[in-house]
Amino acid sequence: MELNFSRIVDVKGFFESVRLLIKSRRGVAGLSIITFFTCMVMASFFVPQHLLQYNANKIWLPPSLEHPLGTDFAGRDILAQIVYGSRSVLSSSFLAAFFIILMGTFIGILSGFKGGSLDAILMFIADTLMTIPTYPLFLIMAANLKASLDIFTLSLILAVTSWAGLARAVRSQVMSIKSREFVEASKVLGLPTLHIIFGEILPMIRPYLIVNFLYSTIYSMNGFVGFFFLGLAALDMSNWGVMLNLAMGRGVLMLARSWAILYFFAPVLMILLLTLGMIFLSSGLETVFNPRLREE
Amino acid sequence: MAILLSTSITFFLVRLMPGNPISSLLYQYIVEFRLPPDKATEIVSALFAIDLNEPLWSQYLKYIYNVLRGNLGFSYTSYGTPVITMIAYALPWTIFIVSISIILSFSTGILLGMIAAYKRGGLLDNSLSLYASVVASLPSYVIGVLLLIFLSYNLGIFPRGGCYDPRIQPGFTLEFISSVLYHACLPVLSYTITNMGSWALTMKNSTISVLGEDYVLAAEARGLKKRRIIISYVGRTAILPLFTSLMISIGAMFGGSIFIETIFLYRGMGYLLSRSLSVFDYPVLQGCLNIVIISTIVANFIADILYSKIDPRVRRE
Repeated sequence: MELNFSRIVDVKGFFESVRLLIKSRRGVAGLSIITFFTCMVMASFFVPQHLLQYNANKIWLPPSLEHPLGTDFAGRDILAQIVYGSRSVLSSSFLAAFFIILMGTFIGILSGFKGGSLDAILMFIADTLMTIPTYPLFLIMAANLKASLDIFTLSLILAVTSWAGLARAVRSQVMSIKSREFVEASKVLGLPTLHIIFGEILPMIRPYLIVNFLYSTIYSMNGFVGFFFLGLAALDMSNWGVMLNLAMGRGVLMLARSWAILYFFAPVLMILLLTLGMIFLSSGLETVFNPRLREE
Repeated sequence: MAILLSTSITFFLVRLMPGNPISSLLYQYIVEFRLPPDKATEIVSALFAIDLNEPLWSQYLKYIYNVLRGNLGFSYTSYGTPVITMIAYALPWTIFIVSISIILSFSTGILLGMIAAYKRGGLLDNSLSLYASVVASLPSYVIGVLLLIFLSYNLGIFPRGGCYDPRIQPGFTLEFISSVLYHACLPVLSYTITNMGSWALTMKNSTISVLGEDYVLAAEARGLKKRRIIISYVGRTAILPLFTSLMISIGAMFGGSIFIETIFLYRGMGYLLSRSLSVFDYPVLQGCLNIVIISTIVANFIADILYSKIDPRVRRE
């Protein structure tokens, strides 16, 4: 029997949700912030390379028309670095969030649907991962692979250490959905298990997964920027965390009253803005998915 | 059981993962330092407290045995220092900071949450939800550095780092203790600021659901003192669900200590971890990871016992 994917990829429903999202104020704020960052990533491909290179004549310049946020200790334009860094930060956080959702959903559904000893084993692992501090684990795994560290592996490692919470939540939802009538009905009808999982259960938890995706993005962004902030990876100039690290290391804090502080505050503001955007978007989406919250 | 699993994870990490430190150290000794292979194997075995000449399963068993005895190998960068001494110095500082911050953030969060639940829709309630959603999702290192800039570099109220004033002799004197507390202020503050909001929000929701219960209404109808209702009827019940998330957050706080302690140069476990990571001192790393995990599990165990004290339903007959 063929899988009916139209229930997962629902085009008409998608436009309806977008319309509802635009109606809520927070949704619009979130969407516009995310659009702003998308434009930034687009712009990162057109950053002139000379702005990112060492220039002894332009060390610690104050903001001007030529350099809107001033320059850093090596004469590099701060705005250019922010824009250039957005690419790797955003792509790695989205990738990691995607992996987290994928792993969490897969394990959660497997565990909740199958039950039995498989469930017990998986949930024991999840519980252990939830109680032990996973961030050191992530750092050490990442440091082990220092030679072959790219965005893809880094995101994968982050996902491996942080799927547990989502898997637990998905499992409990699957278990409650599994016993509802419509799932029982499709079991009686003899529909294949794949259809029950993808056609009946997954659409029910989809809103939860989407909101969780946004929160996972914030989480992984904090993780990645922190990873580079600690100065543990090779310094390529393409990350906000590297900027923070250099700002700390180059004594920006000592120059706290001068313009140099922008070198530190620019990435912090970007992190704050992106976090705000995600939170607004997720609360806007909640009103879309939950009709009771809608403002009339 | 969980301790066994976590030590197995670290064993897997350092011994079997692709690009693992043991094989890269072996490679370094043989290729760069031109040592004969058996000599290199001997050195690396001693460093990691794992005997590489034996079969894998006996390596594993010996490793577990060594960890349980407290033999965690030797530091790679400062030769001859056992890992356990480095950790024995660092661990008390982290436990000190983390436990103070947990108690502080948990209690202020609960207090604020209850007040917000009683005065729903008030100024505190609204500002609390804004605070909890924005500040709580900012990474702790951003808040730590902001505190460092404003309170310590600009205003000069707090010290810039370290555990105590190096000019003071460590000892059980009033001067030393006050210096320790003074230096602990900023790390504790940054922990508390990041964690307080979410506690308050959870407590608010929990309290609101308890307020709707019949027995609270009955207590009010009986004319009990308001204070008594709030503390022993509403508060005690509303805290219960928070305790389970407290257990989870202990681990997260130990993990977060990497950032806080690196920023404030606080010589605890997190500082040791990040320092040894940046110089690739793997034996120390492995030991740190083991100890951090074990102490988290012990903390969870303690919280579990406390929970059964608070919640009569969990108590065994």
